[in-house]
Amino acid sequence: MAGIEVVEEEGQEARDQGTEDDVIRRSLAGDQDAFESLVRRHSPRVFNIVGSFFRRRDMVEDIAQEVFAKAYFSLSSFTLGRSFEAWVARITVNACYDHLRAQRRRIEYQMPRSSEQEDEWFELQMLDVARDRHASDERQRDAAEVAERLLAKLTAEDRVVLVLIDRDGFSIKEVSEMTGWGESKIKVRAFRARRQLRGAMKRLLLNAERKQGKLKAGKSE
Amino acid sequence: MSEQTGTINCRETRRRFSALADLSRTDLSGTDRAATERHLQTCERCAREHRLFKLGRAALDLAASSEAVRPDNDFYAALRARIARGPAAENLPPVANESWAAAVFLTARQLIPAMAVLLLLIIGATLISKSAPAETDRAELRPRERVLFNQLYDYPEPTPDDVLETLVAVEEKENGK
Repeated sequence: MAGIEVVEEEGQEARDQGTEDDVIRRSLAGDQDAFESLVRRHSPRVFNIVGSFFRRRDMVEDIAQEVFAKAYFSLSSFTLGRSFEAWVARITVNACYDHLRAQRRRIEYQMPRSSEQEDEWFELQMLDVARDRHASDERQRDAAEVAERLLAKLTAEDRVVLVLIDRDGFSIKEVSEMTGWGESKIKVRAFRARRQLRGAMKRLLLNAERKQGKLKAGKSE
Repeated sequence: MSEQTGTINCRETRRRFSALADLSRTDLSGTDRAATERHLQTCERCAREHRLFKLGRAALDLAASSEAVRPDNDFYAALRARIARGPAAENLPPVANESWAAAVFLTARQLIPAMAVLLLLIIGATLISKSAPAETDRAELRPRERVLFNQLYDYPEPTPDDVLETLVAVEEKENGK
C-alpha cells in the first residue's frame, strides 16, 4: 500500500509541475492573470522568508513586491521543469540580503554612538521584553530597536545565515541552495555569527546582573 | 563544573538547545527533553549558556515580523503597477529586443571589458595562489577557531600545528601569562 501511495504522490507532483510549467509559459507569453496565479501560490513562502528578516509590514510588502517584479522580468531565464518555488526563494533571499546590507549602512550612518547609560537602558529593555511575552507594543518596539541594533553588528551575510539556520530551522544544504553560497562558507558564517551574537548577549546579561546586584546592595543598606 | 551531570553531558545538552526551544520539533523525545532540562537545573555553566542562547533567539525573533503578513488586494494592484513601469524601474537590464546580428555585435562589444577583467582576475589569482593557502574559508579562521570549529562540524580538520597552538594558548592562560 505504501508503495502505491508513493507512486501516487510522485504522479501528483509531476502533474503539479506540468501545470506550473504551463502557467509559466502563459506568463512568458504576457498573460498577467497567469503570473498573478503564480504569485498567489508562492506568496506565503516569500512573505515568510522576508518576514524573518524584517519587522515592519510595509517593508515586508515592498520587498515581496520587488521579488515578484524581479521574478516577472527574469522569467525567461527560468528553466522549465525545475522548481519555481526554489527559484523564487533564491530571489527572495538575495533581495533580503541586499536590503540588509543597505540597512546596515544606514544604521551605521544615522545612529551615532549612544552614551553608555543609554546603551544599558536599551539593553535592559530588551532583556525584559525577551523574558515577558506579554509586553506592551511600545516596549516591544523599543526592544525590537535594540535587537535590530545588536544584529546590525553582524554582516549581512552572517545575518542571513544565522536567521535561516537558527531561527527558521533550514539545513546548511537548504541555505546553500537558497543563497547560492558553498556549504563550507555557510558553516564558517554560522559559526562566526553565533559567536558574535553570543558575545553581545553575554555583555547584555552581565550589564543586567551588575545592575541587579547594585539594586540589591542598595536595598540591603 | 562536572562534564557529566545526570544522564547526558554538557556537550550533548548544548547541542539540544535549538530543539529544546521549539516544542513542535519531534527530534527530541520527551525523555531526552526531561534529561536536558534536568541537566540545566544542575549545571550552572550550561544554564548560563542556555540563557545566552535564548536571548540570542529572542533578538532574532524581535527583529522579525511578529505576525504572519499576507498579501491583500492592494498588494496585487501595486505589483501590477510596478510591473507596468518596466524592468528599468527595478534596476534590471531591459528585455532584449534586437535582431541576432545586433545582439552579437552588442555581446562582442560587452565582451571586451569582460575579457580585460577576466585577464586581470587570472593574473591576480595566479599571484595569490602562490602566497595564500588553498582553502579561503578555512584561512579566515584563526588556529583556535579551527580547533573549536572542527569539534562542532568535523570540518575543516585542524592541522597538528593548530592543536599545538591551542594547547599552548590554553596552558599559558591557565598559568596566567
